[in-house]
Amino acid sequence: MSDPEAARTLLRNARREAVLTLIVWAAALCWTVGYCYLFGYRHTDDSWLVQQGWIGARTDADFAQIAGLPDWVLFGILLPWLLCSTWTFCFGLFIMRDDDLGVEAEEDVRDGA
Amino acid sequence: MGLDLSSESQQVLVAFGCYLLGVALLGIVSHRFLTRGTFVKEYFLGNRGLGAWVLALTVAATAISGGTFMGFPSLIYTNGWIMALWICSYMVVPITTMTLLGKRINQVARLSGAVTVPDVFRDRFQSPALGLTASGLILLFLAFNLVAQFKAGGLVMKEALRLPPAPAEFLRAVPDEERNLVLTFGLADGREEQQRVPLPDEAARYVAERTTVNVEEREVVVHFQVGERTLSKQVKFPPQRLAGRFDKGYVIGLVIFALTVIGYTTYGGFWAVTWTDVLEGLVMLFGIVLMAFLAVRVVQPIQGQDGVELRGLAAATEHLRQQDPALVSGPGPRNYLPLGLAFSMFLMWSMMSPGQPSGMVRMMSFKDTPSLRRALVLVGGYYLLTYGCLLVIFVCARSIYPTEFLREIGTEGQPDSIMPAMTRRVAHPLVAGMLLAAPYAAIMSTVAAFLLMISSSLVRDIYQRSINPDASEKTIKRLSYAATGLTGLIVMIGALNPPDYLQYLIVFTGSGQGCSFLAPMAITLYWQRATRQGVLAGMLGGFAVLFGLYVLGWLGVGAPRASRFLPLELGGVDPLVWGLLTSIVLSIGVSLLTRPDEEQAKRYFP
Repeated sequence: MSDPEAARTLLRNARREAVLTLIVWAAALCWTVGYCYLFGYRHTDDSWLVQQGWIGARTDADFAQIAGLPDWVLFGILLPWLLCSTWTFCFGLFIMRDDDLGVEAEEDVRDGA
Repeated sequence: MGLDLSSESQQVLVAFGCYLLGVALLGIVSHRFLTRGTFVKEYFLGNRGLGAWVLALTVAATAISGGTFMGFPSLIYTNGWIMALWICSYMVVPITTMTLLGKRINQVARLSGAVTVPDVFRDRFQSPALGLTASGLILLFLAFNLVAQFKAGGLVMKEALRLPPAPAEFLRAVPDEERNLVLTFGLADGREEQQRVPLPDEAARYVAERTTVNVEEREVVVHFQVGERTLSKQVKFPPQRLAGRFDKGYVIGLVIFALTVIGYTTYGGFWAVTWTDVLEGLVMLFGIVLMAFLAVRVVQPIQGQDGVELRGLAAATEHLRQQDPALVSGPGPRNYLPLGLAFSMFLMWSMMSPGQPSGMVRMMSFKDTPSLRRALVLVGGYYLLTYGCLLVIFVCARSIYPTEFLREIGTEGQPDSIMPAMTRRVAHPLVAGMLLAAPYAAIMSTVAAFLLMISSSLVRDIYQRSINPDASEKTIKRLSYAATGLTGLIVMIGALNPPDYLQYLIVFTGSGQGCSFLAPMAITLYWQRATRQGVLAGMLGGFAVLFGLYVLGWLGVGAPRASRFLPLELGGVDPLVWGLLTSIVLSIGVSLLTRPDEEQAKRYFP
């Protein structure tokens, strides 16, 4: 039989870690898709975003590369990927808690039937 | 049955043979572990003893499949840098796969003694119906997926063998109504066989008088007139056939692949699968890092926009810009990745990965939380290296082969051949053999995991838990070996002559598993108020919506699509978004409308 207090602690920690993961996931989604759409896609003068003044028109002539990567790949994908990897390392090494996973139940296949 | 192999192919096969030998040895060693603990738990779950390295590499190797090394490279080659956005949600896949459900599913599985994913549902709600529904869905999804994975394994081995085409006589070439050029060949036994080549362009005209035949190389060169331009394509003679029907190289490749993977999975069970995953994961990583290094070196230098000479990756990117500016900006050629689809793809990789039952089983099998934490760190680095290198390699490939492997105008082959072509271009045959072993390893690790999932569904979920709960350990042992081996053999026979649309089935089954299992599993683990009716509704509802949108696409509803097997993209987003939303809403909504079993819930929420 598992220790109920340890089981409660694991559930609490697992929920907290899942919420943190969802926050990072949402931030990565907004950054990558948002940045790449704004600065990596071609936009003509009559596009809604250009007319609202959020971005300038972007044509093939505006292409720039940095260290072999298109600029939008560097800032819209590689940079957040490196940050996410850093977060993953920190999460694994410092943030995620060590919890007691409990004791293995006795094998009895009829329990759940 | 003599094999006419070139010395290059022989060297490739030597490297391949070394790899297969390593895999076989691991399978034999793993079998010794099956005598520890109860057979079922050891054979299907490794007795929950996975440490950090094995866990990390088995998670990574199972997620990386044949598509990663065959389909994805062809997409980078065809569409350029926009594929970085297409795949980029792998930046969060390590945390979504391992921290959303990982720790909690392991705890719940230990508490109930669950060995499989259906076991978890069944035990948490004391519902055999729920367990059997989950088993049925897993069997449905994985059976289709396995046929496609076997096909990919056979194709890689065929590429390693590289049998020459059959001796034949070129008879005629005639365009058909579907914009293909149909070449007819007379074979030695008197039969005729045809090869179809898509015309390069709507306006292309076949120039019959310029057709040349190279009997020694067993190929025909055909020419097309497109406006002022003349395009040429090489068409190989038909492949050598077995029993007048099956492609000989493919069948030999498929049989070698199938016997190896079925053999070690059946004999060694979960430990064989995970240990070979470690070998396969290392082979993959080593292979693509080396290949990226070699690929960058063979790109031709070019003058940039400011007149400076560019080399390496910078030169490759500039080559792409000069070929077609759409290759270096969004949404890519032919509007490949519009905003809605970019959003869908981010959701697909990052949220479908934790929803795959094969991944969930791995989360049920680690031994302690320090192993999970360390594995998380390793997987984070692994995906960054793998996908980063793949992008670099195949952007370079496009600069090296500007048109040779494009679907419509390629002179050397289809886009799917770009991976083997690049390995042979950049490396010595012995090294090329090791590089070709990387996609082979990726396919093997996925197949092995799926084989064991199907076998566990049949033996544990259906036979042991529903038909004969009193079955002896000896019976279960025999059935487990038989189910794993027979499933593999049946799938191999199915893959002998697979239909072309299986790639679409892979996407469908991947999305289907995520839509059916992610939300139901999340509420099963984290929400005390969840009910079996809610979980069942979420499981079936997510599947039904996804399946419905594919059926509507097949029926031709909505805008015209490139293939009838592509789904209806309601609101411009992939069906998985709607399937996942439906599953979430139904799981929560129906749970709120029904009464939970308080006593049962207390066991899992003390």
